[in-house]
Amino acid sequence: MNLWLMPVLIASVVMIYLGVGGLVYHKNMVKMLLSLEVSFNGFLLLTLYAALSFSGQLLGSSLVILAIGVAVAEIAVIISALIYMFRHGMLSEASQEEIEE
Amino acid sequence: MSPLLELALILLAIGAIVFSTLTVFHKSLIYSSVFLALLGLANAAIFAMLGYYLVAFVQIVIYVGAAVLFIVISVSMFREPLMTFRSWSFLCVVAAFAVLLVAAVALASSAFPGYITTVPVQQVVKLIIDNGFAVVILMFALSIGLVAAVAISRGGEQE
Repeated sequence: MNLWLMPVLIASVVMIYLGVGGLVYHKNMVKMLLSLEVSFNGFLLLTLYAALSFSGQLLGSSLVILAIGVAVAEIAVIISALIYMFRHGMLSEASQEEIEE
Repeated sequence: MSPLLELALILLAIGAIVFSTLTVFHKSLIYSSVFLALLGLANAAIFAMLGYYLVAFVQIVIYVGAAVLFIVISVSMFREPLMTFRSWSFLCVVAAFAVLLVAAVALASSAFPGYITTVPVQQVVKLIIDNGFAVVILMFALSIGLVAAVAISRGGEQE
């Protein structure tokens, strides 16, 4: 194990747990999406850390690039659905009020 | 690794943790989205310092440049954003962080070239192209995402 990579490992684990905690803690859909993205960033960092540790840098790079592409598509769909739900008042009252604040 | 580079990596990791905390727990949705963009930048700097230059480029151009900006613009469409920070101090903090990122990456790539194992960009691109199934899945996901987003938006307008 490379000791100089420890900050990367710690940061990725903290990001994953913060994201999961935010996902559980918040009830607003946008906040949940943002927490999910924090967690996703942590997973990206963890993947690259693992790739660097186990000498699979090429595979790790290509995997992370594909993951970023899929995440962008996912964000586009979720945000579009969210805008639709917001305009038609389909969100829960708490989410609606929090977004309008 | 050089102690200076280790310090830069530690600072970037601390910055990433701080920005992720602010993203999750800040009250304003707009500022949470902006902090998510800064988190993406910090992550890109860490990727570059680890030698993944192509991944850092993709992270900045596609993730921060497209996805997070899309979130920021969409959220700001809900309602006019409230300024909870003083804009000048906020700008100074962002500018200082950007300078730190650029300095760290420039230092890592030019001043200490021997310490970083750079992942060859051509080999990564060749690996992705050779495994065509992954590219097909990516194109499928992106086109489905685009069609779904347009369909949802148009459906909202027609009703």
